[in-house]
Amino acid sequence: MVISQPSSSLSQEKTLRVSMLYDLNLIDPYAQTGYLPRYLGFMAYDTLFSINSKGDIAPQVADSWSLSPDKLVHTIKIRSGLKFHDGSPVTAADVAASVKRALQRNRFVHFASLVTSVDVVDDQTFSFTLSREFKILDYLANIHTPTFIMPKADAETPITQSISKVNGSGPFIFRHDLWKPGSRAIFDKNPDYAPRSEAPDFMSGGKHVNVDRVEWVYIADKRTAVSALKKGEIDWIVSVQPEYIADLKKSEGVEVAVFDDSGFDAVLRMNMTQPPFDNVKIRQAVMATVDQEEYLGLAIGDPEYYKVCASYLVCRSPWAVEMPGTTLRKKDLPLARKLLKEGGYKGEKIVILDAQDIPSIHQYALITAQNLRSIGMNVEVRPTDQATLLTSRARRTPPTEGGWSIFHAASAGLTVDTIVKNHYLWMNPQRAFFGWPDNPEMEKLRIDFSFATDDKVAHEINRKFHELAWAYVPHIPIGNTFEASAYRTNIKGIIKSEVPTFWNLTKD
Amino acid sequence: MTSFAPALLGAARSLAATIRRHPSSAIAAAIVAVLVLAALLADYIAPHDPMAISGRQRLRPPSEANPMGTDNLGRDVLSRVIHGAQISLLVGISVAAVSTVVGSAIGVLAGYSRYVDLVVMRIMDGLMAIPGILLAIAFLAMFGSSVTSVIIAISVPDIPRVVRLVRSVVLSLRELLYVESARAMGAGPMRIIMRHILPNAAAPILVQASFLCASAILAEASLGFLGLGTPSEIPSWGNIIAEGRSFIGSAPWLLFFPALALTVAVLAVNVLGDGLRDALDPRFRRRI
Amino acid sequence: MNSVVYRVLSIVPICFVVAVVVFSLMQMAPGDPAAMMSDDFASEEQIEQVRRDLGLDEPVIVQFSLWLGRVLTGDFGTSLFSKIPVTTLIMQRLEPTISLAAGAMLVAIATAIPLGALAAVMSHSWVDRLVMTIAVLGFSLPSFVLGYGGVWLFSFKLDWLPVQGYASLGSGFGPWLKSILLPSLTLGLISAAFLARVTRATVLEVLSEDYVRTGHAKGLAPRTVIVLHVLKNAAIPIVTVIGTSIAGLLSGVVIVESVFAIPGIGSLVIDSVLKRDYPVIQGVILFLSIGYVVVNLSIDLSYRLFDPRIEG
Repeated sequence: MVISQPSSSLSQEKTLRVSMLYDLNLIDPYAQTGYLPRYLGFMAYDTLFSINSKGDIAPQVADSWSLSPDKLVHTIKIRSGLKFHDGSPVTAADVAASVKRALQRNRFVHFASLVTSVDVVDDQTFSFTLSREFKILDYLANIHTPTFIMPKADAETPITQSISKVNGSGPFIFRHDLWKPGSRAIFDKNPDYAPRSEAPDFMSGGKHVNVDRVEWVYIADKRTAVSALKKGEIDWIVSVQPEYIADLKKSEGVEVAVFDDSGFDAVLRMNMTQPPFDNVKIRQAVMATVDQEEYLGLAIGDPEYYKVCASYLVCRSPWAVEMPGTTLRKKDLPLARKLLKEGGYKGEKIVILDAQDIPSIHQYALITAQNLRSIGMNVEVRPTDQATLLTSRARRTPPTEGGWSIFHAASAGLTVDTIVKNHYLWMNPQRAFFGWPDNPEMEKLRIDFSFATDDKVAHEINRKFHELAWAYVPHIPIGNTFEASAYRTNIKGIIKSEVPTFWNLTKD
Repeated sequence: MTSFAPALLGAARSLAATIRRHPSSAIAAAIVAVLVLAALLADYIAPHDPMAISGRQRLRPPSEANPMGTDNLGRDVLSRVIHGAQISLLVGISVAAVSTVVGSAIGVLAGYSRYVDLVVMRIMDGLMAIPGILLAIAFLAMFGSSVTSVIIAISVPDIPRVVRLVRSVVLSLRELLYVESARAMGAGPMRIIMRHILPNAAAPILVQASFLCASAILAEASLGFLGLGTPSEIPSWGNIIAEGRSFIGSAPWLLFFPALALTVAVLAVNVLGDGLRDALDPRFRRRI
Repeated sequence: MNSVVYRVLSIVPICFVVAVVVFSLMQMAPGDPAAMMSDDFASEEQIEQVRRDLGLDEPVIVQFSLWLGRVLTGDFGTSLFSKIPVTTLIMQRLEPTISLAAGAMLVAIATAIPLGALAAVMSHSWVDRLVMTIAVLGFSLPSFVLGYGGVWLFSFKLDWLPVQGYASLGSGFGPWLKSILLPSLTLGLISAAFLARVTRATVLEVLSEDYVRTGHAKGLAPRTVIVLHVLKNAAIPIVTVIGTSIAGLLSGVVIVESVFAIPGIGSLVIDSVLKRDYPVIQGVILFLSIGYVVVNLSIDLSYRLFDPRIEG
């Protein structure tokens, strides 16, 4: 029996090498440093529900589900025969605990209290009870706030603490023993994974894995990552920074595409608790200096990768309402100067936080500085890095005492596609996002919107909210940008999604 | 040997002679002079505002209007390189001055007092043991990025090197006859240091300073490359190069011109330092 | 032998100085790992809780003593983020960095000493000028420019070497050598430039000493004189320079590792500084410093090898 060798050991191991924008440094899928922990979640964990290409909810671990007549009790039956990577079975108790952990997330703070209990019915069934009807499944299934299924013991870790091992039931197994933080993370195909029988459809359906191993490589010098892709040393750069697009587009064997249609929503945020931006007029003056085309054209360059969007919600959202007139599409410096005078601007210092390690954010900061100087504002660009910016922006002190006036940021489109989800539009100063707007009328509209079950009513509330926002200026939209992704042409079948997915695709 | 002025005069004469014999030093000196002039007159000779952003001027290749092209924010590269000379020379000269002055003071003290020596040299050994760039990075994380903190961050790791040099010179001079006799004549330590030791230690210190200046210009660029240096709003060569490298594939002029300016400047300062050494170091002079 | 004991003991205060410097720098740095770990919507109290969990709420002096106490027992702590022990992180990164540093040293010694000696022997000839011009150019070029140039030539134009990455020795000598060649050359040429100048100066000095002239008088061939006498006598200053240039070499390592995406110690430090991962930064810098001190100590001790007259 010397001759017969199993054919699989003869064929070459297929490894997909992927360069990620950031480094995977926390492995709790709910950790919030960058997007990578969540991407890891989609590889190593299965989710309760998922989303299909029409944006509808589709089951993953869930097998069937039902809603009580009063629309307050959801009962969910899970698929049988699922196993975690350590071999233990996935039970309803694990899933229920996982849902409880998912609900602890701060993004859910507004409605987690409406879930009165999560109960295990039997080995395969659990239910949860609401105190008031709302579309809870939408939130649990969203790819930005997914519900990852983990063993009960892991799921009982408070959300503020990171779990320290990855034991999911997903299509890939995270190799903790080979993990080199700051350099690479390795995932092996899970041989015991049982894909759903449905055809893959966006993030839902059967997750069939056609490679043996996926290696996430972190290359700090993006220039080097681009060279490596051109030479075929890596297979895929998930997020290509705008300055490299032109170079990659003309490279042989490389394909450049946009996988995330929702894009990112870039904003200019002001500190509304400190002069001069506690004054609405001054905020309106800044808005009058903004020409989105200027920001996007300079920072992104290629018009294929940006879109002017004069709305408080990302333009792909059905809830987006564009501002009338030419606001944000054309500068109106005389108006800006007039508003500045009306607002009584007295030359107070404007401190713009400039995260130098994020190119687009840095460029936005420079453009804003030039615009504000052009209408006679007293601007200081304060250089910092992302780590410092995260702590600096929490300071409520005056700009002259270590506080700040303006920072720029970009959020993934799907996190800001409704007035409820978009954290820049939270209007209760106690719970609001940094910058702390305060407008009870708008806050009430947001709450009403979240419970509106009638689409027409919801649209009415949404429009009213937008009109108030145009006058109040909680932030200034800079436009939508789309991330380019570049891969070798021998990689086929990449699913178009904001979350990079490694099932379905093949490598020749 | 006891008076400063004749020594300086002699040095100047031999410097002139060296230049005659070593045209490379003369060329280097000329380049440094041009750079210093460019830096001083940057506001007048730069054709454009180095920080003026313009969407219509984005990524223009070199042309008559923009001899070195424009960058991704439409800023004129030539103007940025000229203003960059300002920052780079400021960093280079300040680092050389700070580390030389501080290092010499500590070095003289250490060379003069055994107790100070014992403590100070342990601290210096400790600082030497940390790779300079890591120390600089840690400093920048602490002070935040500004030109001043870049200067401090690059100077601190250089100080021990100056201390060691000065200390060894002081130690060797201390036992020399004329210092001994000055002491015998009742001169205080301060007077001995100022009148007798420092003038004689000046030559090696000056040569060292020129090399520190060159390496500081390079260090500023390295920190810029790592994204941790001078505030990136400021057009320093390090920042221009760091931003430009992203465009090697599509707009190579963004990297080429500032990198060329940097290399030429560092080269010139180094060659000048060599010439200075030849002129000032009597042992080398004899041999040439 | 007493002097050896003294020298070994003198490491202790040095390392202590390093520990204090490193710890105080990081403590004074703004930026908060707890904030980086919490999500955008975490409340003040939640961030404070994370800070407590990480032990960052203790007074600095308490944190320092706790840390020092653990370090003395060989425990460098764990990363605030990945929860992996710092020693494990260092061990993961050690092989690439040592390969790179050793490769660069080898390149430097192999090119600089012969060329430097040649320049000295033929001083003021065109050979001397050429060698010295290249040497000055060598340390006037930023290492990343040299690195990008090397990638352009050897990886894209000639297609000989990979652009980036590191193949461990475990994956075979060939791939390892290929992955380390270009980075070593980049880093090595810069050290070589400096070393060549020192070698030239030292050899010039030795050549002017009396016994070399005596060697000439005894009728020994010039080449033998150089090899036997001169290099032996020039060895001490050259070796000293090699020792002290290790810290400089490590500075270069930080840049070159970044250009070639080599997962070594240098990139570990940069990453940790950007994230404010204090235990990792402290651990790595302390580790590097001890390494530096030990190497220089062994160089000091090795002087006896070259010159028995020297006592510690």
